[in-house]
Amino acid sequence: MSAALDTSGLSVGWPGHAPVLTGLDLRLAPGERIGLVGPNGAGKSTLFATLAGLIPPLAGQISVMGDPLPPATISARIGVLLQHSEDQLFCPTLAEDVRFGPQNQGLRGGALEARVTCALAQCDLSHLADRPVHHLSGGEKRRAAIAGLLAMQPEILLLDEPSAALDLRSRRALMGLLARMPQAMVIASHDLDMLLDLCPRILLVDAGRVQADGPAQDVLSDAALMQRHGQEVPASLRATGPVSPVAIGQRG
Amino acid sequence: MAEAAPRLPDCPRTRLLVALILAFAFASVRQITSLPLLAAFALAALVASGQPLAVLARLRAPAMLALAIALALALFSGSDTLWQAGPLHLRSDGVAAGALVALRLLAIVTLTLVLLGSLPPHKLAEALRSLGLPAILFDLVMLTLRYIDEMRARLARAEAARRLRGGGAGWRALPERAAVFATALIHGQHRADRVWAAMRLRHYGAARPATPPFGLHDLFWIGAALALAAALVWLDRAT
Repeated sequence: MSAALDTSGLSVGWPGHAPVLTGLDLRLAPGERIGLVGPNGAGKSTLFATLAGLIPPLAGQISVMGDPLPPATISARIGVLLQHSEDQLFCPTLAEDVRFGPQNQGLRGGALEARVTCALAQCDLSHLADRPVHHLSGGEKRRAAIAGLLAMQPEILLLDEPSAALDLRSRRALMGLLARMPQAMVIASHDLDMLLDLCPRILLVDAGRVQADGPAQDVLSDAALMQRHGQEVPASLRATGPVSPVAIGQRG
Repeated sequence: MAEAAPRLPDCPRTRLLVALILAFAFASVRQITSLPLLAAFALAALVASGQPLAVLARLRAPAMLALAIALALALFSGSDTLWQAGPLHLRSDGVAAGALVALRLLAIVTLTLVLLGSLPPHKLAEALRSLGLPAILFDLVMLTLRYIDEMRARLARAEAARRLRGGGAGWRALPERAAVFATALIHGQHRADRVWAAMRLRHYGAARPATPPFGLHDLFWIGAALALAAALVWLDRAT
């Protein structure tokens, strides 16, 4: 079976600048979820921009569902939640925003409305369909941006920091939504507990290369590896029990 | 429950078209004898709005402008003096011209407020788009409407932060204010880049929705507006 997303020897970086990530050979199976971990500036967002077709790769190949993707080509099969997902909501009302993508895909009439209704329902936003997007809460905005992606029926989702700045309830709702979605996903996040819950596989990138690729439990619990690359073992994998103020002090 | 008969067209596109047809007809009135008709139209529009007091409140500024124009024309235009007090000459042809201009202006503004004033700005932009406004202009209008409040809020936050950190007031703070404004502009530019990327990712411009045809109800309103406009122009030319 073809991989949902396949990259070979991929180097990414902003045009005119040095590569931030090189030699990436990534195979994402249909329905698989991968967590992408790395310090700020490791190239996670640049990788997403390249896979999404916003910028051309500096080297290497990208294939989607077995079909090679020409450089800087935006594919309908890939949906991207940008790091500043609020900027993905640019239409006056939520329903109009969700309608934007499928309408550009040529959908009209009942089929279009059915797609919008379904995407809103999937993200539990049906009751907010006519609300101006700037009146939504942070968590609603994040789910609204995802509804906009789902309405285009992508096969692969690239989610950049989906849980950033969300309160606990919104984060939980978002995680429930992502867990229910059948699409193959790459989730870039510093929220390691969320990745542990959602992604069986973790890719750790740092210093321009992939530093680890393996089962989430193994990669995220490797304290030495995590520390070497500016990360911490997520709280849920640390020894249980209350942490004393002394222990916190000793960590620093 | 039976719905009350609508006193105004529902569709923003029809409202815009009706407003344009009648506004052009009002603007073409040349005879002072047609002014009562214009006043009657404006009054009917006020009643049809269902909120005459609210519309009247919004008419205050245009009414002041109309009064100023009428006074200026009455005092400084024409030659046939009706009344004189010192250097002030009230001229009959000036009064007629002033009344014509002021009443036409007020009638057009009243009609526009009634038909379009209650529409959300984005609905008005959509109506303009359906009447042939180029897509790129329409999108610019929509994005401006979408982000102008957010830009204003961002600017206000940056200004508050400047003051909280001891920024000055008055003209001496002009360089600081300029810096705040420039920073807001740069943030706006970055945000515009991100929005553009998000639009491209959702296939912006790949297919444009077709404008739906007018319904019977809309055609009735457009026909009625055309008939009224034609009657007004004919009566005006006949007198």
